Amino acid sequence: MSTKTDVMQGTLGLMVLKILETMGPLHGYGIARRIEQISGNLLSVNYGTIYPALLKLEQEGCISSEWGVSDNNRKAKYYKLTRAGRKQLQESAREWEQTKCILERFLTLGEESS
Amino acid sequence: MRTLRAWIVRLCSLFKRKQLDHEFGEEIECHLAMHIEDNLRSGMSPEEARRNALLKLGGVDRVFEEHRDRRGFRWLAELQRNLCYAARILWKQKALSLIVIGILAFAGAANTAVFSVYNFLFLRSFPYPYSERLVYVGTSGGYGGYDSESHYRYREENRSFEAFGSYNRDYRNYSRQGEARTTSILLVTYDFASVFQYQPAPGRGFLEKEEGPGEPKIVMLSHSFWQREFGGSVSALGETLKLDGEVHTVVGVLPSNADFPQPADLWVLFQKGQGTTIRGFGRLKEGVSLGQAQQDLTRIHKSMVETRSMNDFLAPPRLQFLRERLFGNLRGSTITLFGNLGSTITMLLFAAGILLLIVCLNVAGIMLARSESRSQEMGIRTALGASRAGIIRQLLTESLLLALPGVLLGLLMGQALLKLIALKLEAPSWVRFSPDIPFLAFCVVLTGATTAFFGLAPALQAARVDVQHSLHEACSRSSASGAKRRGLKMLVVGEVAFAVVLLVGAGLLLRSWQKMLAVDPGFRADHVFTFNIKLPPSAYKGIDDNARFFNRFIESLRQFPGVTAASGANVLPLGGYNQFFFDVEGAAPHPVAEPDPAILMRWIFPDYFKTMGVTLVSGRDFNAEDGRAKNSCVAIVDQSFARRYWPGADPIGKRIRIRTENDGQREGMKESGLDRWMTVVGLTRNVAHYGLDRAIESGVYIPYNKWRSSQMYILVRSTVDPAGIVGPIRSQLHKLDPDVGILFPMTMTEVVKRSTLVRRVLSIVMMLFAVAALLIAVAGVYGVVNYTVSRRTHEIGVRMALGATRGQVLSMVVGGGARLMIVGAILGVAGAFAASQAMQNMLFGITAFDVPTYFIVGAVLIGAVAAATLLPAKRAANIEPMRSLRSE
Repeated sequence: MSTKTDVMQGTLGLMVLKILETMGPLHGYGIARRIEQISGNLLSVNYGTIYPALLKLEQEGCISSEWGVSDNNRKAKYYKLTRAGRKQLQESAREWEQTKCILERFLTLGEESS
Repeated sequence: MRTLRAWIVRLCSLFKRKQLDHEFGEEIECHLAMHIEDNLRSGMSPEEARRNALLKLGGVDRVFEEHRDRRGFRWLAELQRNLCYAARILWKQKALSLIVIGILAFAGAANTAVFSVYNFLFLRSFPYPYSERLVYVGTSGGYGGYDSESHYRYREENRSFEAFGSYNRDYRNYSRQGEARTTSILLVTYDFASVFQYQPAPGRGFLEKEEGPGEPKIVMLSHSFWQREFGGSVSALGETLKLDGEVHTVVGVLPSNADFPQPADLWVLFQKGQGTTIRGFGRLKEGVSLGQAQQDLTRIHKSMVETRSMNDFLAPPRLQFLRERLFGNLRGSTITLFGNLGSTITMLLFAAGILLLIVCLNVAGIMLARSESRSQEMGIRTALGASRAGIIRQLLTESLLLALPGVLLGLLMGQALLKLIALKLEAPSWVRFSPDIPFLAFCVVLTGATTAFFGLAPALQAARVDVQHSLHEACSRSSASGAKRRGLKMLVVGEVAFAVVLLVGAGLLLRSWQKMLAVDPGFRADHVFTFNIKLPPSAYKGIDDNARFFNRFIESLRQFPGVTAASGANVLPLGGYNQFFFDVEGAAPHPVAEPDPAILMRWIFPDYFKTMGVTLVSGRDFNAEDGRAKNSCVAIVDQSFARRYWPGADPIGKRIRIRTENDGQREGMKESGLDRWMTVVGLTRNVAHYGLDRAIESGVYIPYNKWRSSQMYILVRSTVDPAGIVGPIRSQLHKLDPDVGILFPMTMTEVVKRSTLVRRVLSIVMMLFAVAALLIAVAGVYGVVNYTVSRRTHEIGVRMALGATRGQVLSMVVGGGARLMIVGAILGVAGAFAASQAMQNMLFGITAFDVPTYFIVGAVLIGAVAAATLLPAKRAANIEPMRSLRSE
């Protein structure tokens, strides 16, 4: 069970970074919503899991946070991509691309032989 | 890199938990608010909106929990929880916890104290710059030192030393305000201070040009002498001191730490041409090894031998690291002033380690017995989902909480003890046992090892809990599980075995000590008072001057009331070397393969044998004539000498002669006629001169005034307390010469006692360890027997109801305890056999298989069995069968 969440957290971190890159500073709720929307409701994420992921990224220095005011005048914590986070995003994206290619080859191999 | 950063952030977060919790609470709150708002906007009812938001979030508590886990460290939080719980548990059983901490503290004190000494002797560097490169330069053979010319050659021509200086330890009569005192001095070359980088303050050090002959004589004061005699006043500089009647000017004061490596009141500048034997200290250049330096000086020595006429000052140089010079080495191959410190301290380290093992076994037993009473708690915990590892961690935390204060308390006790000893022995400033990094590391390892050792077994045992069984057991009165009882018994057997090892070791040392004290030293130490006198060479120029003074003084002492005999000698038994080679008239030339033994030579005053209580076997003592007549040369030999050279024959009338190495030396002996054959006129018993536990070596006595010697031990045998005659002796000496003081006033009994110091201390410390070990082991056996009896009350009741007598019950219980003791003793004796082999070289007069020692240990063990089992056995025998059955 723990391995599964680990993988989820790994991919979750990447999703968070990508969202922050494209959308700019955003609060936790916003990020969770966005992930749900982009995944086309395929991923039913517990919104709660976003917070440990955010904390981890912040501890690693990929994102930074500060308190701000939301559109409808509510106090909220905004997360922002840092330079290290940008680099991390590029790196992880490339790694995922690679993994995807490799896996694809294996899967198609399986199809050919059958 | 990123992971590291995360770690640091997580660590930091531990310190602002409250604030972070609060902040996260706000964040979640606003998250929910936004979600609810969105939900309302999409048309949900307020209630539904709220429910949906909470559901989506996944539960506020859980989010908090996950957040905290990620924020800090889970294990740290668990540790904190465990610590709190453990503290509460231990607090509840205060008495037991205190006992455990107490015995751990005792073992901790023993271990940290012994390690401190070991650390000081062999690990930590001396608190002086580059002390690991300091080297002592003496000679092998000869007088142990070299002369001033060799010093200058070594200093100028060596390629190995950054700094090199020579010194000689000596004494001077020093008078100030009327009373003559004798002070210790170091005669040093000008650069001696630079070897240790001492900076004089106030004042200055010695200069090279001041070493020239005829230059004014100058001294530096030690810090303590400066404080004592001059009240620490700067006006001391430029003052003059009269040392042995010669005026010396004070140029500087040494720093207070300059008592290394040899403490002395004064440093007097050595001047060229002074005919004393000196030794050197050098600081090796970076990267130069001891062997290279040895070769270097040997090379210089070779070139000196070619150009200079041979004499005894020209023995080949011998280099030693300072540490080895002072303390010997761990191999025990070097014997220092204090005997063999290397093997002594190694043995004590082992002994302290064994003591700690016993203590750990004992505490493990206590923990095991305690975990018994907690098996229900463990069962419930397991049933509620606690993991095995979690329970082990919890129990180990409890052990740590006992070990840590135990070791800490022991550390403090050990340090206090060492400080007390150092103070009592008036140790110089560089003898420090204060904690340093290796010492703290040792303590950490000690704590960890102790915790693991006494905590792990009970923890593992407790964690192997069978839920069903343990919950059941709590309700029933069945006895402890077999495994647990076996575990307890094994621990106790171990305790007994190790205690036996210590007992045998201590017993062997005690027996050696006893044997040593029983050695007939060849003299009678009781009622002999002795002190040393040094005559100033400026006032007493030759043999005759010295002899006249000493004779007059000794003669006057004989008139004292209560004094039965008085005499003098150049060395005391158990107090110094003075060796020569002898030729024996008519003896076959010695085979080259077996070198001649060096013979101890003493020059003595008449009545020496009477005063010292040495038996004259045949012949006669020296008389006043022997010294005076230049032409008649006489000697007295001891039985060992006679047996070696004239076995079976009467030595009286035989002739011997001092072997001279060269013409110069023979010339020097002509003055007193010592170059000629001496006739043996007396035969004495042997004296254990080099130590009661050392082999007897041959010796020769010659009359006092054959040898020029300004320093002499005076001996007084009296029927009164020495304390009563010291005063009159001092005033008598003052009457004869107000410039002469007395040195080393001691009774011979003290001299003997001092020579057995190391063995005494070692035996006492080992005995202390062994007794503590035995007590702990007895307590362990008592605990197990007592526990067994209380567990078997019911069974014993049944047995008695079926007709077992009280005697049978008694013997059953005692037998159970005795069995443990016997198994432990057998294992212990086997261990002691092995261990005592290693201490063979510390024994004296007995072998490692000393039967009486083993007998005594056996007897002690029988007593211990009785002490440990009788009480519980009596309790068992007094069980009322009816009551014990009814209580069921």
